[in-house]
Amino acid sequence: MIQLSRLAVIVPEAPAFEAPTQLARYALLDRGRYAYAEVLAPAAVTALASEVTSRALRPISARVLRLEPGDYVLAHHDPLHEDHRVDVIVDLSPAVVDGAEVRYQRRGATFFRFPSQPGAAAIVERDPATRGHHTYVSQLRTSAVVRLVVQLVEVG
Amino acid sequence: MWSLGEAWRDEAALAAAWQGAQPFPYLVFDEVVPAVPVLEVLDDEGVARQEGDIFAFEASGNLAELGAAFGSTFAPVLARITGKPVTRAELRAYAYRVGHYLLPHSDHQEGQGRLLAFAYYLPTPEPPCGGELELFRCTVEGAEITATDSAVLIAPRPHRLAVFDVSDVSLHQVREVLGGLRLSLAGWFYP
Repeated sequence: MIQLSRLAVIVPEAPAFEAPTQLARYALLDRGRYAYAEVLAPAAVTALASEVTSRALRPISARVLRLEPGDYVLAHHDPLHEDHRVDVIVDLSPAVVDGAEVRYQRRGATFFRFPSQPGAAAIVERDPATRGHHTYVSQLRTSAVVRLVVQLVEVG
Repeated sequence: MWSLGEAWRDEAALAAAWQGAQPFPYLVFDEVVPAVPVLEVLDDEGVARQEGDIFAFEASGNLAELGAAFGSTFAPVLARITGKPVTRAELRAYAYRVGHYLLPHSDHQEGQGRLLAFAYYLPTPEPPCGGELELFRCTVEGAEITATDSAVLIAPRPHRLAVFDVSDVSLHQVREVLGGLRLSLAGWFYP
């Protein structure tokens, strides 16, 4: 069965989460440039994703990403997955950063954009051809982008 | 349209410079001035905004006539200097405005036949701030790139031609333009 459309939505009010202050720097520049920390997925995020997708989900990874001006995460740094996982991106940024987006694409074509929107979350049901990337943050901006990225799969 | 100046005369020295260049083979030629102003040739060519995960800029389509003239002038001498069997070039015109960039990538794609990459910088009404071509040194373990470090910055000076090798480790970027306008012709040489 070919599923042509999967859910990708923005939830304006996401669960609160306090980002850690100690992050490690990633800089393999052909893939991305950002700071990150592995965290425990908040139960409220799992509950939100389960409710929105009407699927029983459990988290498999959670990390906080901090993108300073000049940072980015490229699409080919996001591996393809066969398990139809769900991504939840919570925008923890202190302020709107113009032009800073998370974008999802299938076979190179963008089908969903999550613009900078502090306090909001994007929920995306992936298929095996889906990749996401965090757009380049212009050096003309003055503040960083902070995002909680949780990946979930169906229970069972 | 194009002619080779004094800088191209000593091919042995250029070949040695090419071989010894770090982080990977490249050459920079200044005062490469075409007989006919390229901007006049480009007057009829539109550029359109293009955006992907690694780039945001304005670009024309393939400029076949200009590419043929460019290739017929530079491919023979570059083949002798670099040892790469290039015979022709394809190019496009690019306009990088404020906020435009091209993030680190290698240009190497299996089956594409790209042997050499080049960028030729055009005069611009507002000289750009930023927009340098940056070359990176890749540390490779096995088949994996395990570290990437900035190695060379090439300013987009008018009438400058930068030519560099295309391989898995020819990692380079165009730094974000922070002011002004960066105009260039860029593309690849092919067998």
